[in-house]
Amino acid sequence: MKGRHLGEFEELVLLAVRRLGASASGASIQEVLREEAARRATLGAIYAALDRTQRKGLVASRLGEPAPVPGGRRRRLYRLTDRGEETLRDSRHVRESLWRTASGTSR
Amino acid sequence: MADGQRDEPMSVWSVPRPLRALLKLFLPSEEYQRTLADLDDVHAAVARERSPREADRACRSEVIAVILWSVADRLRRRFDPMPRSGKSTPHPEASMLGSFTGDLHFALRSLRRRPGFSFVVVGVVALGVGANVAIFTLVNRLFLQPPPLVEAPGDLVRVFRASPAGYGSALSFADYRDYRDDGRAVVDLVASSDAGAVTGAAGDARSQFDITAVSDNYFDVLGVSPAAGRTFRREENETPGTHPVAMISWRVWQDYYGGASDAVGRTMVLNGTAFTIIGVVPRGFRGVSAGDQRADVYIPLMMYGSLFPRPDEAWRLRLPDVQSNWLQVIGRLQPGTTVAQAQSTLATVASRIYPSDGEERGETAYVTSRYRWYPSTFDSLANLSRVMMLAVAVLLAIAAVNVIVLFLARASARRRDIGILSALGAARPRIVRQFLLESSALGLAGGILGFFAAAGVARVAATLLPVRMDPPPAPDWRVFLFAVALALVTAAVVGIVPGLRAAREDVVGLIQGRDRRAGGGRLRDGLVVVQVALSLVLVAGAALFARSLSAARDVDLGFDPRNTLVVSVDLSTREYDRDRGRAFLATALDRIAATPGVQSVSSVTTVPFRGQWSTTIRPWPGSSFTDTAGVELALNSVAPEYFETMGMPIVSGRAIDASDREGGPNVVVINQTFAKLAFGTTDVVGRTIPLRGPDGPDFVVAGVAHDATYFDFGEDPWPVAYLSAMQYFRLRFAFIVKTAGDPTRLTRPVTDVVRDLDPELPIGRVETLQGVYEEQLAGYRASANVVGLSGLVALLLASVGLYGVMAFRVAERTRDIGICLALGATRRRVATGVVGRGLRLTTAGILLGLAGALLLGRFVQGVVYGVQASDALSLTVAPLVLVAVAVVAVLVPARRAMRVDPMQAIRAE
Repeated sequence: MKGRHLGEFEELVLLAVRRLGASASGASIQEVLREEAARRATLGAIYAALDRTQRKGLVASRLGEPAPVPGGRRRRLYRLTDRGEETLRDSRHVRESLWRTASGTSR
Repeated sequence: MADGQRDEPMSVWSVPRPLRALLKLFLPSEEYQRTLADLDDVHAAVARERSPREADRACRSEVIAVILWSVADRLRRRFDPMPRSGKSTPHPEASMLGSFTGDLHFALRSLRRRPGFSFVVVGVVALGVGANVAIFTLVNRLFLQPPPLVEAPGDLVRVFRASPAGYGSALSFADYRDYRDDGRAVVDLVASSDAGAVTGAAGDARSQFDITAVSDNYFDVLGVSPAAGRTFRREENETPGTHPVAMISWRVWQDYYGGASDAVGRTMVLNGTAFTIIGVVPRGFRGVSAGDQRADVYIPLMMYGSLFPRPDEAWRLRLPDVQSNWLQVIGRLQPGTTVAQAQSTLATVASRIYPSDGEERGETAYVTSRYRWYPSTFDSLANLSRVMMLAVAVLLAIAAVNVIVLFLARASARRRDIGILSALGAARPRIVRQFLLESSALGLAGGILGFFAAAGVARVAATLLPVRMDPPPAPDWRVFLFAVALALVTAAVVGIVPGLRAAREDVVGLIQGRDRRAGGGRLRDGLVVVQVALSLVLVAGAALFARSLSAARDVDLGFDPRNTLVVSVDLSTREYDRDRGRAFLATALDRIAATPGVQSVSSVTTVPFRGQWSTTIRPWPGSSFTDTAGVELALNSVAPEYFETMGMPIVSGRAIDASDREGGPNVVVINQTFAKLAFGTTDVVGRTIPLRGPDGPDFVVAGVAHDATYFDFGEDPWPVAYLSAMQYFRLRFAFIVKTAGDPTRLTRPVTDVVRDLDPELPIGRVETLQGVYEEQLAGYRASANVVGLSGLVALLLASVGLYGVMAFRVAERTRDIGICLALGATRRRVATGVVGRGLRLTTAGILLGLAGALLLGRFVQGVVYGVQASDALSLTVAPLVLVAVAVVAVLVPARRAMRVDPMQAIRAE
């Protein structure tokens, strides 16, 4: 799992990207984290996580169409790569197996 | 997301401009674009859910977070020697600037190895830069920041009245019209006047609204476009009282109309007159001059009179033909014209309006690009700012010297490293660069720390200044650039001195650790001398300003400002004639007097330091003065118990009392200055004065009051005549209430009395007399505080610097000291040597500093009160303080020198 290790926040951000499909922008990720994970994150923190995971090849980005208002800007949109999807699954797998064994011994 | 919103102000401009500038400064273009798009979304979402103000705030903190994260990320990547993923290509700059990044890496690592050193340097730089940034934030706010939303503020000018007597801030309507029409080719003039507060109804709510009357072209010339609706039209401002239209502020729009677009066209009742709302002033507009009130409602100049139901006093009749000066006039230069051209054009117009006929006022127009301030206010603020900037600049210099000393000391300790570096072939520039990199890293860290600390400090410091600042000054991109520039300049100076020094040294000697004392010693001594000298300047300044403030505090005002509440009202905003006004005053005085906690109460038309009312009086039969041009006599109309309430002694005769009613003999109480001027004596009870001209009634002098400050702090006493409010009633006055305890506790009961008598009467300023007086001292207090604090910090830095150098010296010479001791020198003698050395440096510094203090004295003469800039006491105290501090600072290293064990010292190495 070398090079694919995910921090907790990175994982949340990736899950948000996954959830948003092809239209994940910084602001929409922020909203998902707030609404779904009750987590207040600054754009700065989100960008840092996105940039890191992008360098690891877990997400890819492209420029979106301009926002449909006068002077609307083009958002940078992120999507999960196959590798990202795989990493998320691995991570989930690890957690679940840990959970299973944890419950078996403690109770 | 924000797509398809109704009429959301969503556009490229939704992210405030200073934020964009800051972002652009820090982020690579791609990250910048990404952030802007997201910020637009965040802004729109927060604005929708909460308010645009919240949205701005949210974006501000987002921007800071983005910058910090981005910088942190880039730093981490750059110094992460091994890329995590084997596939990633090296950073494109890495090959080009390999040695640079290597050096930076080395610099940062070596700084991290000595956290104590880094911490102290960052702290000292932050202190120096922070103090400068805080003061610069104030100066920026006072002089550099343009008024918000005004287009091309660089083209704006202000027109004042100028006469041999000085400047007048206000012009009459007739003057304004003539200047505007005849000067049109060079300058577009607009006029405005603050009308104060009136009660009114907006929607269903009743409230008090601040009104400003403006010329029809006001918003168009300033380039301020309405947030909704339109601005005024020419025909709405040509005839008095015919076009009741109004523009409302953004706040009124939001608070009373919920920001609804149908607010335009609705009616708002102001003091009984219905006005149609035609437009909304954009959010954040605050007028142009620094002193402009934040208006809730703007109305055409021609509607000013209609705002007041009984415009029966001459000064209230502010209609076109009345010669009353009530307008602030601002202009926009036509493209290609200069202030000088505008000046000469308007002066020509003025010479036609006011043909010079000998003694009559040779009045003219004065056009200035300093449109935000009244000229004398500008001068005093500029003086004050200069002193404060000077103080913190000296402080920064001391901080820089301190850091240089630290770097030198460290360079000595690192000689072997440097020696190896040069032995390995590092060129001299490379060594200097190494130092520069270290100092820049620390300097920038200190600068940024100082910048953030300064934002808070500036807010506090602003409250010390003699001007109101609303909203409080906040750092903008100018302040940020200033901070970064200052930090880098400091870092450059700090890095280059020890860098050059280290680069010059001999490699072999360095590596062998030979000749440890060589070099640096004299430079360090010199730096200590400079530091002591600069500190002396600040400490002497601190003493001087403290004495100035105490002299200003000790001035005998002639009245007692303590425990006194002042509540201003203006009956002319309502349907009062003199009789009803008098009845109102009498009842209010009785009721306030009956309020628990009130010792005495009176009323006055001119509160000390607030406004002025005067008349010219010429010699009359029975007077002993002869100047036919007359003298300016200050007038005041006061209710019974005024002198008692103010704590002004009556020197002879009696005060104005309840017997001085209307219909009775006209009485006057005059002050000592007027008595001496008019009659040559203060024994004047019973004499008469034709206060209202030779054809008016005579006023009998009932008593003589002690002189008191009237208009300005520190003025020569004016001649003053106090009339009885019941005989000479004015609709605009203030209640003066002497209280048993804290006067602010009675604010509520006293204003309740007024509200109870007339719920519709707007209540003006409510303040304490002490507060009014303290405002006058604000300038002296501000300089005393800033210079005093700088002096204190300077002392601290100088003592640390002195201690550092002496301690280093002792450490460096441990071996020599050991030899001396072994050869029979007494320990006492060794210690004396160290102390003596330290004190010699201090003395040299003090002498240099005294010279500097005398030189700088002329910058501060205009800002101190009651003391000379070359004040002997201050120049005596400061050196003593410095010597005391120096002794303490050198005692510790001296003790260490005493304890040197000769055997160990000699054996070492």
